Amino acid sequence: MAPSSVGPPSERGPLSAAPISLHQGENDVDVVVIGGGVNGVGVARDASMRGLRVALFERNDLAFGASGNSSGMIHGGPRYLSGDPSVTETSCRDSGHIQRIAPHLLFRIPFLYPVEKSSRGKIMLTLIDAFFQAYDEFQPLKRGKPHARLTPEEMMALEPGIRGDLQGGVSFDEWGIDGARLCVANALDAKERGALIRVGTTVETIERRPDTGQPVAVRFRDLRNGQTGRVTTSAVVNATGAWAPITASLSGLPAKRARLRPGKGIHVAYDRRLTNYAIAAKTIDGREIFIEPWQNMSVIGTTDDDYYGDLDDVRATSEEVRYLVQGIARVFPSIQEARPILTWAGVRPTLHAYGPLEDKLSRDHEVIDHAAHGAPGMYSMIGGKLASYRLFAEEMTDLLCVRFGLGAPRSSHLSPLPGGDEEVDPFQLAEKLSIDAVAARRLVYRHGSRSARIAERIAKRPREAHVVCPCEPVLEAEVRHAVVEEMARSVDDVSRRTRLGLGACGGMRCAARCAQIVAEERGLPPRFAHEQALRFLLKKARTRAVAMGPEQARQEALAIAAVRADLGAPMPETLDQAESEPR
Amino acid sequence: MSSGASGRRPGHRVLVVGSGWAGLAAALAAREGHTDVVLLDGGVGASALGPGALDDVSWEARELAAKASGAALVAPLEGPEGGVGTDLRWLVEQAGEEAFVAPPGGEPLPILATMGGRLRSTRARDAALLDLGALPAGARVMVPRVDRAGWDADALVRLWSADPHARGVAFEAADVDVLRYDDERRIADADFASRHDEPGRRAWLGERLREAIARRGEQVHAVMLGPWLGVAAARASSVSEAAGVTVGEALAPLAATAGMRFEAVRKRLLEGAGVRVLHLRATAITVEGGRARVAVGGADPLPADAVVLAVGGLAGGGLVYSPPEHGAGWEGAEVVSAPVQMSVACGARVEMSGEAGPGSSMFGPALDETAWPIGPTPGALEVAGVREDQLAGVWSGLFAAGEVIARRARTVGEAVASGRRAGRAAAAR
Repeated sequence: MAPSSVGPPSERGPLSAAPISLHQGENDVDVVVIGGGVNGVGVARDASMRGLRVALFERNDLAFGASGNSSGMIHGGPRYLSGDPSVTETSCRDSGHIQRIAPHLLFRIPFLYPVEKSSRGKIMLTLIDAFFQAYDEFQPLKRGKPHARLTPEEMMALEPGIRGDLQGGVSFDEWGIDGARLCVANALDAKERGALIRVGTTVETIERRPDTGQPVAVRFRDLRNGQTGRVTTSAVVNATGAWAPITASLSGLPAKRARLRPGKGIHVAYDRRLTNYAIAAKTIDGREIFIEPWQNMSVIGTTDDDYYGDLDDVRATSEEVRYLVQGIARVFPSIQEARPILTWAGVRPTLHAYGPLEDKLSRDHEVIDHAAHGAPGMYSMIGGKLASYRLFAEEMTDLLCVRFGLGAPRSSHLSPLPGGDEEVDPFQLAEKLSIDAVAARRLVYRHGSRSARIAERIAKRPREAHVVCPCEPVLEAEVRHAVVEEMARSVDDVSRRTRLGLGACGGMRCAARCAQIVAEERGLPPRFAHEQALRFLLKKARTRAVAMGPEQARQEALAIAAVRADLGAPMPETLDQAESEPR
Repeated sequence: MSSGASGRRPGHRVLVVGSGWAGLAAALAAREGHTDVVLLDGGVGASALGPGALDDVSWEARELAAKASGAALVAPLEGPEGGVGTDLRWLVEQAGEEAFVAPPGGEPLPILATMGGRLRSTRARDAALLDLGALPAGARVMVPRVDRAGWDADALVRLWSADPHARGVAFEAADVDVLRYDDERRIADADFASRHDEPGRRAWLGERLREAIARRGEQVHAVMLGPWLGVAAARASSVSEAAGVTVGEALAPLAATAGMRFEAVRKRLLEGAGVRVLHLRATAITVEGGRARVAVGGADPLPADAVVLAVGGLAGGGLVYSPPEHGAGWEGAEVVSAPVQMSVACGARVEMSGEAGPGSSMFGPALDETAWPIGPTPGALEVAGVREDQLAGVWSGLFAAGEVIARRARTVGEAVASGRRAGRAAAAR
């Protein structure tokens, strides 16, 4: 361990909210993590657990990128079994660990895999049966159930919406998770262990020593209020997912040193659970897609296409939606009449290779140690999956411990995440707070034992038991909790943490009220509330418009009239990316 | 209820399809032409869900223009030919000032407070909505803290006070118990509002407010409440009388309270004018020998000499967005048609963003950038509809009114003006 600092003493102003003790060397922190996705918060948590002092900077919001826009599964990846069995094993093993540390965030998703009749139908079914027999070996790692071979009649009895000329099929078992909640839980744990977490804050420069190439400091800017600052460090972890090449270049390294294959994936959500089983289907070009029951919706996904656009503004297009819907309609035709209420899109930071089709790319992860490029102390995390984020973070933290000569044991798989320590009975909570049992159930899902903190708020101010978002539902106390405790700074941030405004009404009943609460908690002027509400409504409307059917179009027209009467039409500047806020 | 005998043109019948603002205006205007009028009410549409602000133009466009020219926000003066404002006043006067208020040309426009936290002007208003423009500058408005979801008096006071339209009006949150029964913390706005249709309850509310104002010991000029002042009629005036100050509602876009009051007024006006109302849904119009036969669900077809299509836009259900792939199997649409259709088949072409008929896609349009309005540009869903000037090509007895008309502003004033125009033309045919 030989960190040596040069340059001016650090500007402590913007960091003063969380004073940092200088017990290791003279740097402000031991490691700066860039990126608030699941890998970044995972490293921040693990490194904090092992005694390192951490600062994490996130340009947008926690779970803003791929982590919050995934399929919402920590699946074992049976798809990788034939080409990349080690990925399947790590996914299953780590999925089991996540289950242990955050049991409240998990829910079972049983899958059906129909096989169409064809000249090779019988052989296909036998092969698939054998394939899932191999997958069964891994299931115990994640408390999964073994597969079953099904006749067409059995399959249609389980899910009457399935159509098509079937040979038969199999069932198998996966776990669903709310990726954004997983990120928030990790970030909270890191914060409570002393890490500094700043959202809405972009890193502008990574300063390195001209002689050794080591990082010495990171300069950052709060994108919403323009505040800048500098924090000294001797290690920098680039955990910015698809943004990784951009981040690497902020240190003067060529972007290609953190090269990846950005792969865009989209999902479409429907207003209710259309099926109780996830169903696998094939697209016109033979890709595997699915419809899954996910929380209170059904979701179809996903695409995988090389992405060349703006990472801060990734949206599904109507062509992508139609491609998915066509594939699902082949086995589940009523999807064409169902009502889509939402789409989302993210960009996977897949390991780089020139040539293979997107689906054939490895889903493995790797840490790039930029010592090889003359930047010792700089690391980039490339690839990875939600299901194995903890392991990836552990591997990264192991490298940091080696660098700092720490022998602290690994424990991120043992110690529960915030809320995961004990079970809470939602019915008792509902009775205690005199709130709706569904609201209590959702609260417990998102916060686990931490729902007690929201209950405390309500005990002090009973009117905080009011429902702000009736679709999900979300209580006023939870909105305030998200702002005060979970670093939410806008309606969009609250939505990411609570699913506020993601139901059938598209935020019509809650966006204005939520914006009022956010502005109040943050002491910001009223203009902020109007702009926030309009921005949220318009952005969500745009994600719906690409998948619009008759019912949604009717509701959309009514929503436009209501917004016009109440808040006024959104102005072009409403959509500004910078989200600057009045001071 | 029969009206044929009272018409001076026996046997001539105008059929109005739709029961929103446009249909109401068309039916009343057609009755002025002394013809038999039948109105088809197919259920709740955009008017019955409206918030009680009766605009002639988009309020933001009006306010931007006023700001640019430095002019005060007053009702525009209209010549003998009239205009949207004249038509609005024509209808509002028939409804009576206990239902709606529309200042004459040259008078200041009403200023409403919205539940979203803004203050805004309007051309005319539901009588229960509190008009802040009518209060003296520097007036004090009491905003009771009421334990209901969506009503945070302190937050609203802060938002309204900061609005440029506040003109020194002081909003003040106050503890006043206006809930009489425990369930009133949770029931829907319209259900709560209906309790104030009962006179005893209004007296009780007025008394609570009067006491609270007396306790305050300072002059209060008005009391702002949520959308809770009656559904059978606007109850603001009797509560105001009991309270001793002006009491009114804030504008709520989705409460349905003002919309239900519209329905009550509509019933009264149509009955008074002798319009026969049938609760039927029109499905198709065919023309035979110069008369129309209007097919309806659940009854024999209705003959008519002229038909006013006041079926509403996409929000009301008069237009249906139906992209070709909707309901088609995985193999896609068998027949590719225009993405927007009228709910009543009559041969009229419906356009969306200027295009009618199937475009160059097997699928619907890509609406992500265009569905919603941005600033002065209306959203694609707002401009869809039929072109009035092309209806005569379908049949000379066919007229359109309200939101079903393409490229027109979706305001109540536009609906009333086009309804009146269509009703007159249909009666004169």
